[in-house]
Amino acid sequence: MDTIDTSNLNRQFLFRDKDVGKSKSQTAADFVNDRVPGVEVTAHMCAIQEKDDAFYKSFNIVICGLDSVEARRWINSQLISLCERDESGEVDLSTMIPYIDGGTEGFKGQARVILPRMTSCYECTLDLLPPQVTYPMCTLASTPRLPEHCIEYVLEKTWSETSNKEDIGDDEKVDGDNPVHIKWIFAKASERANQFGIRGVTYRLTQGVVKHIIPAIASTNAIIASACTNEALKLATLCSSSMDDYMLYNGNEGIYTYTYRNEKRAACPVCGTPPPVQMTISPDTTVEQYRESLAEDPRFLFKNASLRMAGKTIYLPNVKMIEEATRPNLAKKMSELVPDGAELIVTDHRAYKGIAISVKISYKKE
Amino acid sequence: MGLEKIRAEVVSQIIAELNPEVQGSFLASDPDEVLESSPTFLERFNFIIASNMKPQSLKKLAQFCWDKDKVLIIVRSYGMIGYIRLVSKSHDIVEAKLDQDIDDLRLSNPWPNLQAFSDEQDFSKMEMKEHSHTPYPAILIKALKQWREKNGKNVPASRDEKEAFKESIKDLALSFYEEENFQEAYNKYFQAIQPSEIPQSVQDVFEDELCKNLNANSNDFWFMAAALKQFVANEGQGTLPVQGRVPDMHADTDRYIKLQTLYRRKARNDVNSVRTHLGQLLKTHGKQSESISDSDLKDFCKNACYLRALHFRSYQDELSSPNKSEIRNHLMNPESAMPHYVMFRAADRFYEKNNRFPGDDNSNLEADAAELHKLVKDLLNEYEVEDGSVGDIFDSHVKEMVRYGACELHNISSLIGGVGGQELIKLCTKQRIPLNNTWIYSGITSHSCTFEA
Ligand SMILES: [Zn+2]
Repeated sequence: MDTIDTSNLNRQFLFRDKDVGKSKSQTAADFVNDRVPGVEVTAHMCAIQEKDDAFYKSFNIVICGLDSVEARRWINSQLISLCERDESGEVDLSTMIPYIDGGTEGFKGQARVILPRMTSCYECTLDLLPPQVTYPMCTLASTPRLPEHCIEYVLEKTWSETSNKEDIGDDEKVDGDNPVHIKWIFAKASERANQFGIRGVTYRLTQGVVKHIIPAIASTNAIIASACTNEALKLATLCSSSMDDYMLYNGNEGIYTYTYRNEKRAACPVCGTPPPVQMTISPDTTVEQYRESLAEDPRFLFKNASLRMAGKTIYLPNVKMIEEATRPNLAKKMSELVPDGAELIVTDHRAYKGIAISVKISYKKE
Repeated sequence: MGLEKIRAEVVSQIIAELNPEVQGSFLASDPDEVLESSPTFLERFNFIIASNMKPQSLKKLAQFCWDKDKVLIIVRSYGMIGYIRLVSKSHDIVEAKLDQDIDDLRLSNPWPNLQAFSDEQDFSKMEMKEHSHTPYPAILIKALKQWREKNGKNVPASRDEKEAFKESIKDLALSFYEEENFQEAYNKYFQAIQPSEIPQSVQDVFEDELCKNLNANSNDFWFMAAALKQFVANEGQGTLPVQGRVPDMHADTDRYIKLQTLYRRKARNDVNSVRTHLGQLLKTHGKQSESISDSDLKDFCKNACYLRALHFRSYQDELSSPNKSEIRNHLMNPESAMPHYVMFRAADRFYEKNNRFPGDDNSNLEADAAELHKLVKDLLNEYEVEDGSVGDIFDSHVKEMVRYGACELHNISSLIGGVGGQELIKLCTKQRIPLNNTWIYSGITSHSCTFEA
C-alpha cells in the first residue's frame, strides 16, 4: 500500500536510497530482522480494518504510529471490544491488550498508554483534538478530495517542479506572506481542482494552507517512538510502572513535557455507557445532508456514516452491492424513510469496529 | 553486528548510513588524552556532544569548550533516568517560531498610507456583501479615529472607555451578528488601543553587552541588532520595523491583497532604513557593507519582535556555585524530576572518590547505598535544603540509583538521543528556543524538569 518516497528518507530512518518505491512495512520489517538478531518482525500490507478479531487477539501489546484520527479510533474500538468482563463485571485481564499510541507534529508530540476498560480510551478524549491539517502524499497525488489537497499538492510538487514561474525565481522558497507566491499557488491549485472537479479553492484558503505546513522532524519521531517503546518494555517486563497515562512533549521553547491522567468518560460510546442520543432535524433534510452533518457533529465525527434501523438499511457504504442498492436513498428525505421517534443505528466502519451509536430521530414541526 | 568492534567505529558507520552525502569519521581514544596531547582535534568542531563521560573528563572537556567558545551538549542515559545539559557562551535566535504569533499591525498608530486605506472605506456607500468583507484592521482604524475625534484623547484607557469603544465598533456594523469581519474587529479591539511595544526579550538583546560593544569580530546577528536599535531610536520612533505579515481574516481577496501590499511596502521601507544604519556600522568596524545579505536582513527585520539572545552558565559555575534556590523550589514539588539531578551529582562525587559508579559491582550494594546516601545528604546541606523538608524521598532514589549501576538502557538512550538531536537542530539552525540549560527525565513516571543549573 504505502510505498517509500524520497521525501521520507530524511526522517524515516529504516529506509535508504535503494528502498525508494518499495513497500514501507516490508522494508522496515526486513531492516529490523536483519539488524537485530533474535527479533522476528512480520509485515502485513493491508488496511488495519481488513484484519479480524483473531488477528488482533494474537498480540500481547499493540503500539500504533497511525496517521489519522479515523485509524486510531478504529484500533481503539477494536482492542476495547476484545476486552471482556467476567460474571462479576471485573475486567478479564487475559483479554486485555494494552494499546500504546504516539504521534508527532513538528517539534511537538504525544505518547499515551491505554489499558482497555481500565484507563481512558482514545474515544474518551476525542474532543481534545485540534482539527487535522496534514495529508498523506498518496492522497494528494492520486485521490484528492478536498480543496486543501489541491493546494498542498501544488506546494509539495508543482512549486519545485515548475521552472520559469512568472515573477518568481526558480530557487525562491514559498513565502506565505508574499502575495505573488500565493497568487501563483492559488492559480495552479484552481487548475488542479478543476481537473478533479473539486470546488472551494480560494485565495484565503490557499494562504491558510501555505502557512500551516508543519514539517515532520526525525528527532521528534525518535523521541515519541522511544517513549512508546519505553512503555511497551515496562508493560512487558513489569520492571516499573506505566506512564499515567498521557505525555505531551513540546520542544519549541526549551523542553517542556506534561504527563497527566485523562479521565475516563462515563458516556464514552466505546468504553462507557453512552446515554441515548436524541437529534431533532428538519423533515426536509435529505439522507445525504444528514450524513454530512454527522461528519461535523463532535459526538460522531463520522466521515462515512452507515445508517440502519431495525430490519431496514438506509445507507451502507462499505459493502459494494448494498451501497449500490441503497444509493438512491441518499437523495430522499429522512422523514420519508425514518418515522418520527424511531431509533436509527449509526456507525462508521472506518472509525468503529463492532460498535454503533443509537440515535432517536425526531422532526422539527413546521 | 558490531560485537567486539570499536564503539566509535560502529556508531560513526551507522550514523553515516542515514545520509549518503555525509562523511563520518571517528577517533577511538581516551578523551583525557585527546585534550592533553592533541586538543587541535577538537578545535575543528563547532558542536561537541559528550555522552556518558566520566565526571573528571567531562569537567576538563567543559573547560576546553568554554575557553574555545564551542557549544557543548552533555547527555547521559543512566538506568531509567536521562539528563541533558547545554552550554554555549551566547546563542542568538532570529526565528523563535513561537507557538503563538505576535501580531503587531500598528492599528493604534497607523502610518499615513494605512490610515488612507481605512479612510477610503466608505461604509455609507457599501452594499452588505462589500460591507461584510471589509478587513477588520480598516474597521478598527476607523473606529479609533471616530473615538479620538469625539473624546479628544489618544486611546481608550479606563474600563468604561474601552466598553464604549467596543460598542462603537458594533454601531459601525450593518448587522453585527451577520458580519464576521465586525465580530473579528470587536474581538480584537485591544489591537487598536495597545501601543506597539518592544518585547522584553528584544529589549534585552538591545541592552546586551555584545550589542553595545560591537567590534570587528562581532557576528552578523549583533551588527543587525545594533542597526535595529538605531532604527528604533530614530525612524522607528520607538517601534520595531513593520513585520509585513497580515494574519488570516474575513475579507474579499481584492482588499486583502491591497492590505497585504501596504504592509509589505512599509516593511520594505523599514528594512531599507535599517540597511542604512547597518551599512554605517559595518563601515565603522572596517567591514564590507555587502557582508550581510539583503535577504538575511529582511528575515531579521521580519522577525524583529522574536529576537533573542541566550547566555548559558558554564558547567564549572554550576558545580562550584549551584543554583540553590531553583533546586530547592523544584524539590518542593513532589512530582518534580529534580531528585534525579541531585542523584546524578551524588553519583559523580561517588565516582570521583571510587573511580566507579555505585552499584556497578554487585558485591558492595549495601555499602555503596550507604555511601551514596551520605553524599546526597551533603549535597542537600550545600543546597540549603531544610532537614526533613523533602521527607525520606531520597531513600528510594538512592536504592534505584544503586540498582541501575550506571547501566545504559536502549529505550532511555534512544529517547535522550532524540531530545539531544532536537536541541542540536535548534542550536545549529538558530531557530526555536533551545533548553537553558538542564533537562532531567524519568522514564518511570515520564515526568521531566527543566531548570537553569
Ligand atoms: Zn472511552
